[in-house]
Amino acid sequence: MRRTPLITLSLVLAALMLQAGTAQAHEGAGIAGGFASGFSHPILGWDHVVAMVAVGLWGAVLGRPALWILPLVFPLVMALGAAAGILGLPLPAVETGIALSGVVLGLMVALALPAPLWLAGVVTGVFAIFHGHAHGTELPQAATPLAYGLGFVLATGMLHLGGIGLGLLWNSRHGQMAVRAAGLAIAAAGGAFLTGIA
Amino acid sequence: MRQVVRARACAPRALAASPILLLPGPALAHPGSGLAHVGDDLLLGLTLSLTLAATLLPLPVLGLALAPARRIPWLSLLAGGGAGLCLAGVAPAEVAPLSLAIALVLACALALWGRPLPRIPLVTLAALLPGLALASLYRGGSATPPPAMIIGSLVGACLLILGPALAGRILLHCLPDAAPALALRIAASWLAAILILMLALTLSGQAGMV
Repeated sequence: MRRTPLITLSLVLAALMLQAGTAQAHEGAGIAGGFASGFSHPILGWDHVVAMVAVGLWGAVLGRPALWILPLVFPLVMALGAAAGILGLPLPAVETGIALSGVVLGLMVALALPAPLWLAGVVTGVFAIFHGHAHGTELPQAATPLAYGLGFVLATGMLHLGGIGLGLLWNSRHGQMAVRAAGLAIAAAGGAFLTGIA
Repeated sequence: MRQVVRARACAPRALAASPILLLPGPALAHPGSGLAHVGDDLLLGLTLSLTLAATLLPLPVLGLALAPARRIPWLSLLAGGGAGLCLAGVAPAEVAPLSLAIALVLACALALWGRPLPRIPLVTLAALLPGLALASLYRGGSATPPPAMIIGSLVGACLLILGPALAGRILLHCLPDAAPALALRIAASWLAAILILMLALTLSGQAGMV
């Protein structure tokens, strides 16, 4: 008799296991799906993550006004790249450009090169085009574009903010070492993507 | 016997009342015509403007531009919105990308220039953007929408403008230093990025997805 609850529980669990799971092939459908798809796209790709965090870090290392100008330029130019991808305009070596962005931006942070603001803006903008083009060409057909765009712009901004937050450690001596180490790690990750190791 | 007499007495009354049954009832084929449906129409118009946010995306950009302004140009907003609704029937298909493009220029100016717009361009945009946005919202409709639905859409459009404007104004007055102005510039740049995507989708013919 004592086994009855256990058997009942087993039967219930077995019945639950027979339930149909979520249709993963349509995960981008609807407004919520579009937002989730757009939000997760920059975050789930490490090649995007390292570059976007590096932009925030580099802005923090260069100080004001680069601190907020670089994270302002990046989404704008990235959207231009995405528009090119949506409109079907070809861009050569997109993946190479994305991987190279990790190397260059990571080295800029690690070496703390005092680049002028215009140069920092141009370098950030050029790499943003490659990231945006990848987002634009991979826009899922089922996703709601407004929600997708909102999600991926917000995710990009949050990654920049993460980089800026880490970059605020630059004010202390040990913090500078940590920021430089983060820059080196980003450059190494970029190198791994560039050579095909990762 | 009593029952038969009573039935005979009631017959003329029933005959007299029967024409009442033949009177026409409320025209249910036109659900928007009754007073009870005014609220539904109002809600429909409001929902239409808030759920088709992609069409009305230029309006929050205008709201951000109005945040540092001393006064909200109500007359321009209502006149522009009204004109857009009146001209929606004859508006060309290009009105939607035109609206997005003007809003994109405004968002880029707010993000990169970072200063409050002069009064005359601001008043002009306050009339132009709601007009174009509402014209693109109601363009190509098969029938004239009920007045309550139009009022609902106007209210929705005003909410989309005033929400960011009031939020920005509160930020500018409550937070010290340059932080709120920077926050507005970053918000403008993010809106510009989304507008670029919307414009690309519209131009690539995927506007139906929007």
